[in-house]
Amino acid sequence: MVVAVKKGLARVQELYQDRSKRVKELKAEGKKIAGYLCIYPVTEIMTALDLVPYRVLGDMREPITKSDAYLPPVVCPFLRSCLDIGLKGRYDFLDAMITSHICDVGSSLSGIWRYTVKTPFHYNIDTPHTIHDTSLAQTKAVLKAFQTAMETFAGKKITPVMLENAIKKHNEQRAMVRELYESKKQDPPLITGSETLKVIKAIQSLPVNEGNALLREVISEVKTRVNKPLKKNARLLVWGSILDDTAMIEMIESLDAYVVMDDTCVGSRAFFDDVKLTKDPIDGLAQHYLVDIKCPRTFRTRDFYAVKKNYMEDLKSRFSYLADYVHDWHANGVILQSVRYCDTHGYEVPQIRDYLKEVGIPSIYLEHDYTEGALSPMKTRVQGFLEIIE
Amino acid sequence: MISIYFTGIDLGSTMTKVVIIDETEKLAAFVVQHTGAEHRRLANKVMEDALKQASLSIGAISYIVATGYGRINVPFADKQITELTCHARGIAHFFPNVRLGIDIGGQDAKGLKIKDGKLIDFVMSDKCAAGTGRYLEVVAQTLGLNLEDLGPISLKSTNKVSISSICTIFAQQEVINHLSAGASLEDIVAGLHDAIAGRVARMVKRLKVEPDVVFTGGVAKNIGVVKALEENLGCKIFVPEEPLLSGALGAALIARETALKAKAEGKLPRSGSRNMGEATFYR
Amino acid sequence: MYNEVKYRVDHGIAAINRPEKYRMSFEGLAPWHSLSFLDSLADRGWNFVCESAYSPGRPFTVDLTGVSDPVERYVRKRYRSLDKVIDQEFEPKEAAEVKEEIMREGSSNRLRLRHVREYQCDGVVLHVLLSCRSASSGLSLFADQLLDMYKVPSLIIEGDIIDTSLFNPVESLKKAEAFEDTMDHYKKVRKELGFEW
Repeated sequence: MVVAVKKGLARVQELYQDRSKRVKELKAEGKKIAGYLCIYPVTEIMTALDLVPYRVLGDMREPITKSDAYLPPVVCPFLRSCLDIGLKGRYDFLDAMITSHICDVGSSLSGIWRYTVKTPFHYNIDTPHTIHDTSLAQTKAVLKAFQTAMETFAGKKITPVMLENAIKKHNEQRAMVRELYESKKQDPPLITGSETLKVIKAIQSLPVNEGNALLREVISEVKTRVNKPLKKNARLLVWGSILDDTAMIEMIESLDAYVVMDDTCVGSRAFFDDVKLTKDPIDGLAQHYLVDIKCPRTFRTRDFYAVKKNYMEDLKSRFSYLADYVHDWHANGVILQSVRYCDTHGYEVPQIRDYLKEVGIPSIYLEHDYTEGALSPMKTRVQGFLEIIE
Repeated sequence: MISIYFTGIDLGSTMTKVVIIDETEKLAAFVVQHTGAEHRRLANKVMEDALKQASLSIGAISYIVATGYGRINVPFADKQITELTCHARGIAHFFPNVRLGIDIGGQDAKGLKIKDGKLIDFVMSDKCAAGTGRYLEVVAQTLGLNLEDLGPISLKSTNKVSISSICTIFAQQEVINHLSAGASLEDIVAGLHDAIAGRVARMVKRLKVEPDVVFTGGVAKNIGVVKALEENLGCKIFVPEEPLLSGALGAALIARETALKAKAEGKLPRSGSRNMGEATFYR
Repeated sequence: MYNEVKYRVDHGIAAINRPEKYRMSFEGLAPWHSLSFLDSLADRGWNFVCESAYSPGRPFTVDLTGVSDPVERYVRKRYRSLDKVIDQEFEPKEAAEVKEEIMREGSSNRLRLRHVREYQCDGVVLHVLLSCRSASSGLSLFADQLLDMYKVPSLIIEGDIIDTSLFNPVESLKKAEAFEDTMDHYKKVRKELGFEW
């Protein structure tokens, strides 16, 4: 019996419901699956070694029962959820677990995962947190060490040409994601925020070639859609910590609003800057993974060595890209969201709010705890915000 | 000329309030009832009581706005607006110079930044009982007092105790400790009022405290909390005659505005007939 | 102070001025706002013999001949200091493993585990700080490994450096009293398994 293979958004939906089905098939065919946490592990190196990169995420709908023994309740519920489902065996198909220094709790998680989930190969990439030249040099050394470790794991070496080809494929993916996001500039956007999240989650669950093929299907489907999303009043940008479930976006889009743009990591963050092709590919990768990705875990300031700082100039240098997003995607408001206990994102909020206030962009801050129950009171806040900016 | 009327329904977690006004913004009816477990489905019953009070039939109501926690469970409403926007409108109606509205209800507390009668920013606390009416219910029960007595009793205090626990449950423990240490009832109640006021003050200070500051909600009937809030915020606080009115009134005012605007544009404010039955399921 | 401590050591006088009932290790930042709590534990014969937050490793020397730049001298002294501590504490093979662990995961509990054994501790107090996630998030794993490896139990006492209302000395003392039964139990378990303490 021939089973029709789903394409485009139907395939995206299928992957959203059972994300690991495809990689398990690939594993059965003999491929090695490299799980990675957060967008700092270099997936190009994994691709160059013919490994399948697979983003480790949590499950918002699974009550956390096992990870309390290892991570106290007052830390990031997303990481607790990742550990919880790891302890429940849902990541047993991983051959490798690659973590990076996202934050202090993320680092603890790295050690705890190795001790408790026991993925056969484990590596932690110690990416620096500032963008000085010395940090960049350090990043290059760190990535070279990562490459060597992965070569040992995979049992083969990467030549610069192999790495460059992998970079090109991943850049192709980035370009297509940007093309997809272009269609969200229209009014109404051709693809909803909820659908976008599912697409990104899907491509972070597939090898790059399959992800690229899927993106091509989705882009052409979206551009020629007959059943377009209906017109709504508000166009919003969502910024903040990881959203790996559509629940919050769906809650927002159930009101008179669309999420037309995002600055999150199951979202635009990994895709909006290409890796530059450099003679030593590690140079381009270091620049991308340390400097270009705009995640608050990396500390930026206009002039590190300035004795006296101009607050607003500093904020402008750090956040003007958000104003550009708002402008280019014709958004009329920004929703800043973070998970409870995420200091990394939480600490940025007052300054982003100051900046957005300065440039006249309305914003609201929502703190949630990575459960569905938290969404109901949030709906009132979002609706109140929409009533204000109407 | 036949008068037309507008209704605001504020379906809160503890109390349901209905206001009917006419086009001159005059009050035709005001009904307050306990929401309870059943009334989330039975907004239509409260509506009927309000209509009876105003001697009107449902056909006379041109537009209905539902607000509050249970606003989704009013199937006969024409629009749902958050209690944030509605409270701001309602408060500004009686206090045109209001800049900060504070509403402490049964299960939540809100700070509303208001300018020219419109909501421009807000803070909400609805994840826990501390800083809400529930806090006072719990401690009143612990002390064997009625809610209405808390205010007058606290005014007699000369040396209020300090309640340091953030959490309502732990505050109960502290109350018991104070009682066994021999502290007077007045001083304990004053300490509790200070705790709830302090918590709410910390929340609303995020919005910048500017006069006029107006306090609404069931807890505003407690003179002890009013005084404690004034102390914690360092400014005069106004309380409307009927502190439970502002949400439903604001909703009614918005209903009136919406309907009259549509009329001026030559459109019908709403289409179709109303379903006056019960809400069919909880959301 | 050195002379005073030396006198105590030479004459076998316990720091807590009474017979030692339990040898304890302390993990986490000290409860600076309520140090008297530790006195109430001392009253019960709890002697904290080691802790890891503020103790430096054993002193070591670095050859700085020919290095005149003060910044470079400082960096050379501090750089690799963790390296040296590990070399001091472990045999070369294990030292290499510990370093590998730190490089791969950012930290290793083995040093702290080693101290519990070296100082022959009966129990560890884990001072989990609600707002210091950096220090607190790894403590549960440490407690687990400790029990697994050396059959030494841990007691969690929650607190905070800034918010004193999060630390409850009355409740914590109650927990400590109950914990003594646990420590007694594991003393027996260790004896049966042939541990030296």
